[in-house]
Amino acid sequence: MNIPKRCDVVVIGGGPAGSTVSALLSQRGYEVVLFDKARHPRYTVGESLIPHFWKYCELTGVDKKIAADGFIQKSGGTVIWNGVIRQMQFKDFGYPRPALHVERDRFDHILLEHAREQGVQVFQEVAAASIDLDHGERTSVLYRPNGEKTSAEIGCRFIVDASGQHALIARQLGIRVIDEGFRFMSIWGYFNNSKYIAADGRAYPFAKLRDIPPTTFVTNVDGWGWLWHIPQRESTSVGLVLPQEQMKAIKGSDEALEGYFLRRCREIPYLDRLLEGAEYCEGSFHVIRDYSYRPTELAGPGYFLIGDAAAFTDPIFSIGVVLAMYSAYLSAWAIDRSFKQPQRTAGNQAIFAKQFMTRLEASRALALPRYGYGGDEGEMVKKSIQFETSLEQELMYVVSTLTTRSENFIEMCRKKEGGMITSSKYRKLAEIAF
Amino acid sequence: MNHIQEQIQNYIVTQFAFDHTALDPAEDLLNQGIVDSIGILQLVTYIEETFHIQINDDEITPENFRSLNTLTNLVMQKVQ
Repeated sequence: MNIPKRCDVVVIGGGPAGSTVSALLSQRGYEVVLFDKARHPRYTVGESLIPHFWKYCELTGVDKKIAADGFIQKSGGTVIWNGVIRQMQFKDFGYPRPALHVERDRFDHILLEHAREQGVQVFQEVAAASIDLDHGERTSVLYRPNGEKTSAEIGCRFIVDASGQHALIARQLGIRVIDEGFRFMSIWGYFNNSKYIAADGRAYPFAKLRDIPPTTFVTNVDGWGWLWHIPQRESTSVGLVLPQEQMKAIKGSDEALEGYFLRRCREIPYLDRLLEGAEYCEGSFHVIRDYSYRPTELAGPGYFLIGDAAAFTDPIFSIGVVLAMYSAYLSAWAIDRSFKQPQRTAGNQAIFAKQFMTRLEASRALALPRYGYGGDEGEMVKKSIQFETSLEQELMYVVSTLTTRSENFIEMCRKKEGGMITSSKYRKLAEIAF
Repeated sequence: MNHIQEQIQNYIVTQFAFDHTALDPAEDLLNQGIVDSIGILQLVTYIEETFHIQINDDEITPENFRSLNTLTNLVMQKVQ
């Protein structure tokens, strides 16, 4: 392993955020070193992608490789909330390219290999341990290859933290704020041969997946909780997201949680019927005891926070990867400008932070219930909505009507000058046909 | 259409609006999807470099980036 002593930019983490920012910067001629503590392909969750991710893949040029891999294309969403069945389809909103259900080990590996091909120096199984910002121009990252006892240091102009929920920099600097009002945990696993729901409101056997595209199925569980059902090429990802207070009753061990998960999967309306005849993939159970968080600063002297390393919101509307790629693009833009005009670095970081925070607030307003707004946050969400195209505003409106999660967002829309955004591009169904 | 507006129009048409030869100065660039979240940052860089001005974070608003007219006003306030 031949890790340089110095480079232009160190990127921590090789997920979609890290691969995207490093590819963009390498294409602009910067020397980029990327560390990932794992070796790809590696497992991760977050398998439903809305079509917006394509435009960032087109910028780096990885879009053709993604298209060629044959991931499952989904047509839209089926949401059953408090017993009301609603469906929406992306084709009604003018997206030229499809939404996907992806195996993230494969998807992320394609992005990382593409970054390497763009000239990024990728070092896997190397953990970034800490950062040092105290030397002004001598920003550095302390890292350690897995299995080695000694750490080493690499100097750089900028550090981009794309370390996902590890949130290395935000934790080290103590700038991560947890949403106390919405702590949740996720438990999930995989099933073979699950039926799925298509855009026509009918359930189909798994074998039809290539002929009749699936929708992502979401339904509420016990009030504020919800579940996902995401068919992929080999199996179907099924997960429950539940408030932590509700989970206190199920005492700690993963075995107990797995039993609880499997029991709930077989009794939740509609999911129980989709899983009739499906087999649970033994050993596929996962738990994240996590919550919603955001930082007090998205950038500072020598560093940028992007993707989940910056903020994480309840993943109900599948925007995690898109926000990761958007923030990667923003940070690459700010870093490129700052190399060209170092005296404007602070201003570029302010633009990065403001634009990213605006998007984060809009996604929080869509996804989080009981979300207390301050005046500034409400203004940000309004601005974010006004930046969008008419079709995108309609999509946000439709998404906000699918659940009872988006009361804050709907309130923002209502206050918007010129009246409420509306759309009729969804339909209510009386029943799912099995 | 003044010189500043013409330059911005040419940039937008060549970069984003392939199906236009000219833009209505009042056309809503954001709602129509001509300029998206990526395009806004490209526009910031273009305007700064072309007119030798600086755009601050609190000036990147839907109000300023809505149309050719609003963009031209933003630039004209700064070059004067």
